[in-house]
Amino acid sequence: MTQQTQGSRLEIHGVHKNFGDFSALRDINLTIEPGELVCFLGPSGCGKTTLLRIIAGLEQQSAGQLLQGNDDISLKPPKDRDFGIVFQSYALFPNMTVTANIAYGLHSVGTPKARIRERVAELLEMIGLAEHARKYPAQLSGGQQQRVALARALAPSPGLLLLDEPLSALDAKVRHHLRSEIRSLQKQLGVTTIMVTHDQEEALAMADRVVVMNNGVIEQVGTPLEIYQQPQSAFVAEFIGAMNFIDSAPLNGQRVMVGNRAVDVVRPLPEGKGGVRLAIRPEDVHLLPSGDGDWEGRVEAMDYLGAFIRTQVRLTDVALDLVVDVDPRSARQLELAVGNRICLHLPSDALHCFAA
Amino acid sequence: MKQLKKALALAALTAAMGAQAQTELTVYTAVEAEDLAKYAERFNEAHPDIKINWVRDSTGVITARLLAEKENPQADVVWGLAGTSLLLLKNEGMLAPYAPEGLDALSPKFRDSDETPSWVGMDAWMAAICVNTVEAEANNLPMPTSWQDLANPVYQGHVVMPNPNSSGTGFLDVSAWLQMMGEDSGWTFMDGLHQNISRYTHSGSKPCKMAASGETTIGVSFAFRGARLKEQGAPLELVFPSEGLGWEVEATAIVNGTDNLEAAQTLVNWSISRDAMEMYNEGYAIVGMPGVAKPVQNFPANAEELIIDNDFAWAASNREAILAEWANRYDNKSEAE
Amino acid sequence: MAGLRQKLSDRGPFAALLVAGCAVLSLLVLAPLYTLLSKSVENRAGEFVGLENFARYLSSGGIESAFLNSLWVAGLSTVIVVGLAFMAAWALTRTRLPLTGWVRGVLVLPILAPSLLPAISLVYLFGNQGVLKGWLFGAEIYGPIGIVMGSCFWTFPHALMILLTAMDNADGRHYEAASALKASAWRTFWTVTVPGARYGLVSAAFVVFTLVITDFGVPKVIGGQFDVLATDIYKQVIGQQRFEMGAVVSVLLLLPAMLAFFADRYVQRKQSASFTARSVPYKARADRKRDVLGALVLTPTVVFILAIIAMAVYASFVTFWPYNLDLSLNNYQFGRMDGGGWGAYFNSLQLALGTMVLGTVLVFFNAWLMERTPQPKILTGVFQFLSLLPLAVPGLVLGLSYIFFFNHPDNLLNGIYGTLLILILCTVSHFYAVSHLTAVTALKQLDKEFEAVGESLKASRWRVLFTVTLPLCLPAILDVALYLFVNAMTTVSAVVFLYGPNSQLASVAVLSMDEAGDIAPAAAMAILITVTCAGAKLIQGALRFWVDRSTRAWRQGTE
Repeated sequence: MTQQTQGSRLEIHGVHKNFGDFSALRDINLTIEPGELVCFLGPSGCGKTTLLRIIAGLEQQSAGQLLQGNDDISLKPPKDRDFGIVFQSYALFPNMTVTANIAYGLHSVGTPKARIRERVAELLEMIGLAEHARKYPAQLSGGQQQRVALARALAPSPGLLLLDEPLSALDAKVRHHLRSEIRSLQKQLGVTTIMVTHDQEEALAMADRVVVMNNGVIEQVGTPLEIYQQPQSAFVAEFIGAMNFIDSAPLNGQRVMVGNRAVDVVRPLPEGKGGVRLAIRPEDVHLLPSGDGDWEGRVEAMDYLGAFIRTQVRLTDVALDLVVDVDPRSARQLELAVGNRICLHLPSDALHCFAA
Repeated sequence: MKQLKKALALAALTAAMGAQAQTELTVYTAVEAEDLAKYAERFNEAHPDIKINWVRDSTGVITARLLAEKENPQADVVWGLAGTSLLLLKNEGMLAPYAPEGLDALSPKFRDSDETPSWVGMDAWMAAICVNTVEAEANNLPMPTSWQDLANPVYQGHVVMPNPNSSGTGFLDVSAWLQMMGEDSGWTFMDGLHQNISRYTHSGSKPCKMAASGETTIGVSFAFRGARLKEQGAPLELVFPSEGLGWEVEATAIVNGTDNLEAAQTLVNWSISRDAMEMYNEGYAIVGMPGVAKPVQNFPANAEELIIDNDFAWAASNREAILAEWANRYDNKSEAE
Repeated sequence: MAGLRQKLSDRGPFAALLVAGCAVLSLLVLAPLYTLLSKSVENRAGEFVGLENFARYLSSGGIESAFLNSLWVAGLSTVIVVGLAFMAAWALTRTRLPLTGWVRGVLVLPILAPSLLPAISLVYLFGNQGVLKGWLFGAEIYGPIGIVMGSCFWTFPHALMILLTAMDNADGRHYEAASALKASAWRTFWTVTVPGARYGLVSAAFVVFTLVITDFGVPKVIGGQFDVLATDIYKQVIGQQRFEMGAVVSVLLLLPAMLAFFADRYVQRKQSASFTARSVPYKARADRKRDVLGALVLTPTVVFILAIIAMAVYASFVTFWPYNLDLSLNNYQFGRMDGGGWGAYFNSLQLALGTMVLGTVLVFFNAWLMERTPQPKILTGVFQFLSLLPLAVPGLVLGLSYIFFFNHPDNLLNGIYGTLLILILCTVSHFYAVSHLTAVTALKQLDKEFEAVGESLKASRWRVLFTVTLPLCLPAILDVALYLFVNAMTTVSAVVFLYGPNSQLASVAVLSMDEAGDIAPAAAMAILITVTCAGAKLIQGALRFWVDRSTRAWRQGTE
């Protein structure tokens, strides 16, 4: 019943964008495969929205080339490109019913009336709002409006779907629900999708691949797992998930000095002669009964976050605080409490190494 | 080709005839507003093919307008404007000289002195003082009989007169005073009068209308207006000062460069016809064609004897200087308050 | 190079249209003003004489008095109007008086009347034959007293509306805090109410000052021999045919108006920065003493406004004031008076309708180009400046500069001189700024991504304009249309130099009839204008009601 869209492939080559002296995007190269869902993730001002608007043709790149399928769209105005878009505000037309909103794009291309009716009904069914067809946007909840905006964008069966922070205006519960709904819809339709978000959890949960951006450049592109487990820069490591950083100096081979202590690492050390920043995720630090591990410390604070306890430990030898996530059962076994002494183990294969 | 030319010529001819059939003239005038419809109507009885579009304002305003539009004149004809103003326009080269039919029947005072006159007269309007009898009694004011009386301090704050800068009536008063009394005593008289004036108005009718409604007791105005208001039942007495009355010719002229010369000439011809003179006589005691005038209600029978021997050439050539001097002396009544 | 070509094909047309918009406004405002300024430094023959005209004007003595008179009369009127309007706004927003809807209606009535109406009415009330003459204790209404009273009448609604806007937005939490801190009502008033309205007060003061100092109608009718700048321009131009001196006085009048304009823009910029947090609407609690005080504050103003209007209505029907008080329709027989008679009235209707249609289209289209299409920043800046400029230009000055500009023989457009068209253009320009601000505010409130969504759905900006933007802006469009209609109906200052034989106007007819001493017909015509504007207001109100009702579903989210 649902129309299977042929998602398009998108290639971005060497895109730059300057606003006056300010360089918003520098040398962006990216290929997005048909049917893929890619998230642009980064702090505000990193250029992710600008890149999305360039893909849509709403902004013009200062240099660079965009290919959609075999089609060079670099210079095409938005109306000659093939995409649907959902904005943070949804930008639903408030003076039109749900039906009229969804049908808007179909009218533009002169779709026959009967076909429009069919298609709108199909989409309403798909987003589960069939009984709200004649309502106005203001009469719908935020989540319902979001789905209408999605249906409107999908109605002309675009090869590319652009989502600009589509969930940020919703409260947490609706957001979680819609995440999976959008994801399954996208998979079902096979439409190539780019979603801009500043919410790493959202990106990791939904994306086939995540593009982490910072200061106008792409820091890393990879699957959620790759991004999380093998961050290629300190920025990515810190931005995605929680991360402890430990300053060290290279010693020889795969060894570095932390304080007056030598530490072995597995991962390759950064090139150059500068210092090395070791990094380790809170859940990768092992806590052991006092006297058992290679590091000693004292529990400074404990925050119960439901599934785990975020514990702050101050190391004895080095002036350093580490954050450690412990599951409640282990915590009980260790008799973890603020002020208690504790031992830590930092597995060398869990230590990331970045240039300082 | 020939056929095309023929067609074009025919079209041009039809257009010309069409234009002939409904020529519109823009006529600037200072004739009292209530009479405009009558004037146009009577003219159209003789010449239904010419439509008059009136632009009426006070003498000073119409004069200013004509001068302002000198580079791009809007008017075709001036029908009913003070002779001194027309002299001014003539000196600016804005009038087209024309000797209308029946020119000889006009009294010599009522035409431009050139052989082909630039303007021809209609009638004369003359100064008069409107006194509200009810207010005069209430304020215990004696009835004035002369211009000099008006300078009497007893009238302080009770006299309104038109500003000569905008009103033709105002100007003919000032010009008459200067001619009758001589320049020095004329200005001295006006200095005294100025002390009694509560307001200088923009229009020559307004002082009399204000007297008629009791807004002021004495209005320096002109006979026509006083007579009309008396007819309407206003408690007015018209005073014709003993020293003599300033007066002014109301006249007609063709504006240089008009696109409707023929129609304009038709209008000027009619404006000095006997019919027209009889029409003027309905409101004015003195008209341009000798022997036509009959006495007018509320006008003095001996009007012709009361008016001074007005030197229009002098008035026209000194107009700007007189007005400037006047403005300089009296234009800021506020300071006197 | 390729990028440039794309810009031209996609965004070029819109930029070109806005450039055209700038050109139109330049032609309608900037070029005439420039001609006026250059006239002021030329002699009659058109030779450049530097500041000689200014020197001559200043040395001619009494003229400084016109400048000073204008300043103090405008200043005094401003103090009175802003004071009264503030008290009225306080009573309307901070008490629980009944019928405030009706009271608001009465208080803004003067906006529907030409500024000449109060002046004429004052003659009947306080003139030498006035029914209330004794109330002045022998003082004369003709002069500053009359000007101030008349100005207060017609500028009051402008101040009131600004202050109501400022005070309707009161934050109830401030009042709760004050009462929690045991502040007395008096102290609350001075520490919460007044500071909360301070930007409104300043803005109202600037607006009233500018309106009074540039108004021509009131001083013309009731100023007597009291000279102000506005009447002085008229005298220089109409009475003495000294156009270059008219230009000089215009420049002098332009100065305080410009000053007030820039000061107001400065204050408004600060104001928008001061409203940041979302506030809780203020709800007055029951307090009988305060309500009585509110009624006491409102009564004189309401009575004054009603008295002025009622007097004019009555006088317009009186056969021959004051000697024959029989009622008749004689004064409505305009054919026998100066000013163009009923023809002038119908011309005014045409002018008002023409201004409304042309103005609304021009204003909204340009505002849409500026707000809703991709435009180079510099272009929108230039356009914004040109749009707001008319706010600083007094109508009289604009009208005079139109003569200089459009009646010049070399001007290709001089054919429109003396036609209804030039009157429409001048009136549109004169009232452009406020309409523009209304339109821009409405357009800014729309989601900024409508056009982007439209383009992604292959709909042109034009289709989005007609199917989304215009329907959403309908209330604002109706407001602008009414504003233009009413102002075109009532304005005198901008058109008094410009009307021609076939385009005499009702508002100018009021002036002409008053000048000719036909004050009762002048009152009749002023009433006719007011009634027409009230009719327009009713029609607009009905339309707005209808629009609100048929769009309630999507506006409020309830069916």
